[in-house]
Amino acid sequence: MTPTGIEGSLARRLRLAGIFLLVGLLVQAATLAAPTTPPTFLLFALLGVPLVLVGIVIYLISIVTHR
Amino acid sequence: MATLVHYAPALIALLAVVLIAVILLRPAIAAALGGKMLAFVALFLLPLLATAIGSASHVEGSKSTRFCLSCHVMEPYGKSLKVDDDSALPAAHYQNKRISRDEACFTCHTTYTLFGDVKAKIGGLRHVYVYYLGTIPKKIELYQPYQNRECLHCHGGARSYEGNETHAEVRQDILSGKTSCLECHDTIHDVEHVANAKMWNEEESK
Repeated sequence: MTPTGIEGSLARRLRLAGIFLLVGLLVQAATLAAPTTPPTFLLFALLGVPLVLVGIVIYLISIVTHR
Repeated sequence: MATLVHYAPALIALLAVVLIAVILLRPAIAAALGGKMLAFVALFLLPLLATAIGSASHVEGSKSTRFCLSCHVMEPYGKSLKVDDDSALPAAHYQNKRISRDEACFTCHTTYTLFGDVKAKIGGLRHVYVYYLGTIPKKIELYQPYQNRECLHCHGGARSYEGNETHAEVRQDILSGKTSCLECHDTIHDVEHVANAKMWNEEESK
């Protein structure tokens, strides 16, 4: 156990998932705050959504593999 | 209230961002049961919700006339909605408010690009790619001939359509698609002559 109270590998994965989600959600929020145009739509669909999905997958893997 | 609804998807995403930031700064909270639940909400539920609502919001936004006409190549089509010519079908629909002016393109092209099925949406993304990184064709054409259902979803069942003798003669052919509405109503987006056409002045007509 690390001083944080959770295992180091789990903490690392949670942090990695969090970073993907953070960046993805910020991209999504930025495109949603602006009027929908082809560039904002593309940014949302091709950058924001994949980053969030990768973050979710990393998070799910981290909790499923954690003992 | 309308503003809040408009920004709700972005606000949900920002709420998730704040909660994720808390977990990133203090991962130890994920050790306790409450922390685990917070992590589940912040790292799974809220991002999923934000993505789903955000996708719906963007697809809805892509129905706007402004969205379609934001591409330079669509400018002549936008102008063709404002030509001063009663016989021009898109212009007559747009100017007489037979269709919503805010969703003028979508109303008559419901299956086109981002508005249609998955295949159409992929085609729509390809359009954006071609627009920014590819070569735009000189003449823009629909992938498939214009379908009568686009007209009939409004005109079907309407007295002016059903009571018309000419329509009655070819009703079955129109329904089956054998006869296109555009065979008779053939003044569509005349983009080749729109630059020199007389334009409708919306302000003067008020």
